[in-house]
Amino acid sequence: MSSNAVLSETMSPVVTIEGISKRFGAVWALTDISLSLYPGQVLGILGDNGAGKSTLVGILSGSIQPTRGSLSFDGRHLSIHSPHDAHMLGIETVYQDLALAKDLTVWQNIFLGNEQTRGGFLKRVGWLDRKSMTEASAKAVVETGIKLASVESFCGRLSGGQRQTTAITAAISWATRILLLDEPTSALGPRERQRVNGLIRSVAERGLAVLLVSQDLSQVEEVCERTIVLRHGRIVAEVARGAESTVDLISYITGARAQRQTNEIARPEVSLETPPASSSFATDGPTEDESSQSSPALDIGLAPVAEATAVTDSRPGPPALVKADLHEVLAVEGVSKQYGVVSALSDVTLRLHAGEIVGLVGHNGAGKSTLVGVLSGTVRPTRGRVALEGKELVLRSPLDAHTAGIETVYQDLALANELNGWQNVFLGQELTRQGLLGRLGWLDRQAMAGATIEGIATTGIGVKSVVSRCAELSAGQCQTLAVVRAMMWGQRVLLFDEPTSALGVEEQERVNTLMRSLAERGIAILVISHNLPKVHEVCDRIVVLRMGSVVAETRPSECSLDELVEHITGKDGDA
Amino acid sequence: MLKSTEKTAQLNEGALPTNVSSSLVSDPGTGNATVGDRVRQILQRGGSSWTFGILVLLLIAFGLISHSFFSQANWIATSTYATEYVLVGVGETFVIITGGLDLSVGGILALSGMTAAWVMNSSSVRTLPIWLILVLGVLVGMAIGVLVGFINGVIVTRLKIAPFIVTLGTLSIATGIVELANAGQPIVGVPSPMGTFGIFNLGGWIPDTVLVTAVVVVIAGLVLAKTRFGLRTYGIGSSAEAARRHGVNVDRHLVKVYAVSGLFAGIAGLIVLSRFGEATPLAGQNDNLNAIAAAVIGGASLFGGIGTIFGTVIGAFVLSVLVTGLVIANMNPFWQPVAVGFVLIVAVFLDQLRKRIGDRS
Repeated sequence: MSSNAVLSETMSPVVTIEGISKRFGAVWALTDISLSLYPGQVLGILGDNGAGKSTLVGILSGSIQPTRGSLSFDGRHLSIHSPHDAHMLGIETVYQDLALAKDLTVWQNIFLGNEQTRGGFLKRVGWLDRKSMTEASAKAVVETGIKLASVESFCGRLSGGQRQTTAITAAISWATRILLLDEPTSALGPRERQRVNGLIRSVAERGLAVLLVSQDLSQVEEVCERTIVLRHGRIVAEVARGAESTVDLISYITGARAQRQTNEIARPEVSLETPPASSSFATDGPTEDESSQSSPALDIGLAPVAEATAVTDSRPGPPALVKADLHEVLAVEGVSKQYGVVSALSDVTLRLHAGEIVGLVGHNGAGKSTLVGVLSGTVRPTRGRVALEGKELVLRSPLDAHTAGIETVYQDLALANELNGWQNVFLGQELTRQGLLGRLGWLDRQAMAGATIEGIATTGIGVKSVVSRCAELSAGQCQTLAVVRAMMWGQRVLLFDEPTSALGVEEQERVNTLMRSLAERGIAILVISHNLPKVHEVCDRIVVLRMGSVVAETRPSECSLDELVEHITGKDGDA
Repeated sequence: MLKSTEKTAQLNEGALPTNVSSSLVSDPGTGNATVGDRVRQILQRGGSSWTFGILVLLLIAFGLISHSFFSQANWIATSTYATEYVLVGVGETFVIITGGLDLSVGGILALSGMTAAWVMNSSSVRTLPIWLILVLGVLVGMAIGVLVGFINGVIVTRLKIAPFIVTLGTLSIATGIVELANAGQPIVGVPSPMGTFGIFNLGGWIPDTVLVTAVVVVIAGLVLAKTRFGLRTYGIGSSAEAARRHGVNVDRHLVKVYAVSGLFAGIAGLIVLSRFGEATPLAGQNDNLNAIAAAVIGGASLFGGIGTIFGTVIGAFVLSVLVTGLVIANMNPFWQPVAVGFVLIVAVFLDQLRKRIGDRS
């Protein structure tokens, strides 16, 4: 291929999407996304969990249909209805979950859907040309430069990295126009990562357009010509290589910096609907679409004001609470957790005090969820001990944690969809009637429904009805139920794993207030969140995890958001 | 696009979802339900209502075809016939609500009947008073059911084998043992009180077996709708992980649920024994699929979390009305399994439709 041809193609994009939005139920995963992919260029997509990265990949790969917006391929408007359509257009995807058939071998996975047959009569009956396929697969794998024992290995037997190699090889082999990579190196070691980066560059040099979704900033900086940062389903920054520092990028991702600069760059249409940049949380709000009904306050501009006061209120820190005589409720001492050779937690020590809200932050895979698992009885630590009020606590099951007064609001909420509100709140801790009937397990509905209604009232967040099935409730209402449940049973310690991820701005604020009032009742609270500004605003103390270890412990008053980001990413000098 | 959303909305409201609130006894006493909620609840209670509609249509159709359809004799035949389906179906409903499946109920039914008949006819009990022999037989029959159900549950939870396979295995084992027990021959003759009980009618209209079944089924309905046991059954079926994290001992509960299913199959075996006065290895042959059919036609979801005893009773009556109705209409009763097959497939299709549109993802 001549380099001239590549250059002339560079002028027009392979694919352009305009004003794409995608809604799942009540949640907008993407709002008004416009971007183009150019031949020979790698476009990076950065963003936190739930920012909409995988949804964007899904739309381009045909597995997700957009709610609104249009797509043009080579200048022609069209819809990609299925992965098969995408395949026909020369678009290949490496999915985050890899989408490999684990009972097939490497070469079978690479050629699945593109099988080669022998010639002559055998071709007509679909007789496979195994030899040519294994040879081609072996060659393709060698080209990636990543070690793989044999293309005859079953994918189910491969390590995570080898599986990832297989998926990437398959996609590269068939992509003719566009290659979509959804976190292609998350399971790879540093050296293999380097090889994949080289591979991505060489694919781009062949004239393909590449979209690279990644959480790995250094990879994006190395490989991508342009990078787009998504936050809450919107584009908050679009930068050319080298135009912004790493810390700047991170502050876009975490929301520590709003989209001021972005507006100047490329998309005035976004700035139109963005409230004045006085509040750094302005971008958190729902869009101007249907979802705005749930939060009318935002439209009349009340929410940002409330936010601002909240910030100024808490910024001096809650001095009343940070006292020397804090009563220690829960102590985690030297806890480690090994999964095979991988250590998810190593020697973590953490103390929770009555009346204190502690934030736990860190990247994906830093060990936050494992730590929550240890404290909620779903993960047994390999080493170390947990003590409650000075007494050693053995947490073998959720029931043990429960009995000890430790309750968790899980990220996925752990609600039973077919049960209604009070049933979910009381499942496992049912109240029964007095007397003989009670001893037979006869439920006291009135008492349970009443207590649930009261609990919901204290949260200040409305739930349609405690007799509606959870399947009929919105994500926010379900979250309220999970919080009410935890509140009712967590007498000592409450663990919140991403407690406000499904809530609107106003509801988030209520949950924060609620956490504060629970803390004032003497309950120790641990909050895990990706929302750094919120953590910084709400928590009394922040613990930073990286690669399974506690790397920093600080107070918001002593540590700016930028410094916090540096702790999390390891750019604070010790890495 | 828009059209399909409208459709899904309608289905969501009207069609199927049933829950605890729609079980045998409805209990509106939660205080804060608005009129809208009430209406929605009533709509949801329609979970088994389309089945009820089918039953009414069948009754009307057969009534028009033959005047003798609404006769005393036909009512007794239909309701007696239904007892077997109702009992195995109710036990199956508990299992299906947890998201499992019990294919062994027919085998348990035959095994329970054979064992009870064998105990009551054995020479070693002959000297005992007649009431003691009966009590012994009944207890042994029920115990056999609980035992096989317990084994099902233990294998499902401890060895983590799919319920479908486990119960298919125990079905085969139970069926084989029943054939071996008396060289493939029925055990003829039960003590007379049990034999006459099986054919006696209260006031000419209510067969004894129907009365006993009704009592047992009402208790089952109350347990499912009103007690901790019932709530946990729904909870595990809706999300076993949620139940586990909420501190429910999921494995232990599942063992109990399979034991309950076995118990109901055992009781069904005793009812069949008293009705025919003999225990045959062929008993219960069609009950495995009919039990599942009754529950699913009655609105229970194979995905778990949904189903009611009331719905299953309706489902069982649909099955039995089809048989007696076809006989009375002078049609070949073998059309019944054909019709049941159609209804069953439609029921499962609606279940999947509800699942697809009901899930927020």
